[in-house]
Amino acid sequence: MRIPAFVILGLWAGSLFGEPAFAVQANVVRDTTVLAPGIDYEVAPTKKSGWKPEGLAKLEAYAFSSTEKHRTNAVVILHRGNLVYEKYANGYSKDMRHAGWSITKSIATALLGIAESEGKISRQDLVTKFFPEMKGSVWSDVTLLNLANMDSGIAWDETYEAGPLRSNVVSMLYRTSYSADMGGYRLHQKKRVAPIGKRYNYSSGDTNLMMKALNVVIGQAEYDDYPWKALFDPIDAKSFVIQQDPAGTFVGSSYAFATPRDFARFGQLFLNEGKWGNRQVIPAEWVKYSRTPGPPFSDLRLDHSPNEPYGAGWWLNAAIPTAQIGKQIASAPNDMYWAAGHHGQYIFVIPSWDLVVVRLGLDRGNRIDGNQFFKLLQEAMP
Amino acid sequence: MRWLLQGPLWRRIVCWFVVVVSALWLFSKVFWENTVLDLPEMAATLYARENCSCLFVIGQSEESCREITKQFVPLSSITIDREKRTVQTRVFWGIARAKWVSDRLGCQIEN
Repeated sequence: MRIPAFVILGLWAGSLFGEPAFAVQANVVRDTTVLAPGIDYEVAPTKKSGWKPEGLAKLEAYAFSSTEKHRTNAVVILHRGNLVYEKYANGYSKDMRHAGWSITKSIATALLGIAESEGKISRQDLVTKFFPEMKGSVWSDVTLLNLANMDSGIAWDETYEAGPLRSNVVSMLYRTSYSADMGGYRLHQKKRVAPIGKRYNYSSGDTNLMMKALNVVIGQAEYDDYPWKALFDPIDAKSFVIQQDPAGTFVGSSYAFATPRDFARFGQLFLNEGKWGNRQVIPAEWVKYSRTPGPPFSDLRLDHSPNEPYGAGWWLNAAIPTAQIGKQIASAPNDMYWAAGHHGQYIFVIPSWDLVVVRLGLDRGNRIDGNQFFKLLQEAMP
Repeated sequence: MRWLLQGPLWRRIVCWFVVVVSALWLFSKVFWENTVLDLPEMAATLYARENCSCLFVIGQSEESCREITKQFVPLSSITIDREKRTVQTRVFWGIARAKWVSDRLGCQIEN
């Protein structure tokens, strides 16, 4: 029986009343090549790295399984700055870009730190400094740092496909009138639900407002080149694309694309405490701040939404007893932190293991199990 | 009420659909950001941007992009111009168009 299109629309509309959290819960070992400026990857297999081929095979079998509910398109592993493993599937290759989705937020907050180090802005700058028309509104006293930590206290609904009618992020990205100026859309939210700095609430709108503020201070001509000049070129990450909205603001919440290796370079930059070769690309202090739990997580209140610790653009693994938050991925070290994007995009940075792991995919339903992934990874390590 | 409870099956389905959608529209108008009637526009915009990115930024095939970008609401039509690097989509009455801008800036919705 053919189902009329209007019935499908109605059924979809009726299903609107509920994005899953990260479930916490191939195979040739490549030559070790130092990730330094001007040096490209070697592609010759060797046993120098010490990684266990049988362990990598088990990890690969899990990550790229066709019977599990997750779907992996790429895994890249850097150990001690060297490429030790990569594999691609589902039509992807080492030279093909992949969508980063909210990994872009980690890039956006990195740009904020760089801009501050260059004297262009201060993290304590008020939003109203860039948008004076908002003085006297709920945005009074909100700083750029509040946007980076996502604790402005102004209401925002980050539901995705499961709740498009109530979702602010779906409106911002896909309603024509709002997507024309995404930062402006966030700026005109008027409902305060918590005092400034007291409640963390994941918000793509906060990131895009932050990017709009950078545009105001840098100016469009310089702004259009800024991510490449400030960040991508210094780390030789040539493949990056970041899309803009029609108002000319980079969609820092969602729309970065790069090859998996270039996402790995970005992760390696953070593992290097912001340093690449002899250049301090991102201030070390900002790298450290990015992986520190935001101010609301020092509070015993349990209305964080969700209860997953967040720094400034990065998710954190360690438990936070003061906020009654447990460790996120039991089989990975406490010091691990990661950039994460919709449908299972990850850049994991693990200082104690001297490791960067990029995992990109298309997890529509259940996400890949982080505990299982890192258990298998650890068994493959030297 | 009679039309909801009596008469041909097709007429009852249509009536109930109108009642449910109207109730959803009213509820969403009062309490939420978007209404049911906004869904086709949002879906068309999503399909346009995501297919443009998939084709011209990532470089996947049309078939792969259809699979990667699929949503619960079906795409009514899609027109791809590889020379101009544009994607125009329609979902019911919603229409959207995305264009490739540059190698660094990827795709953008044309408003």
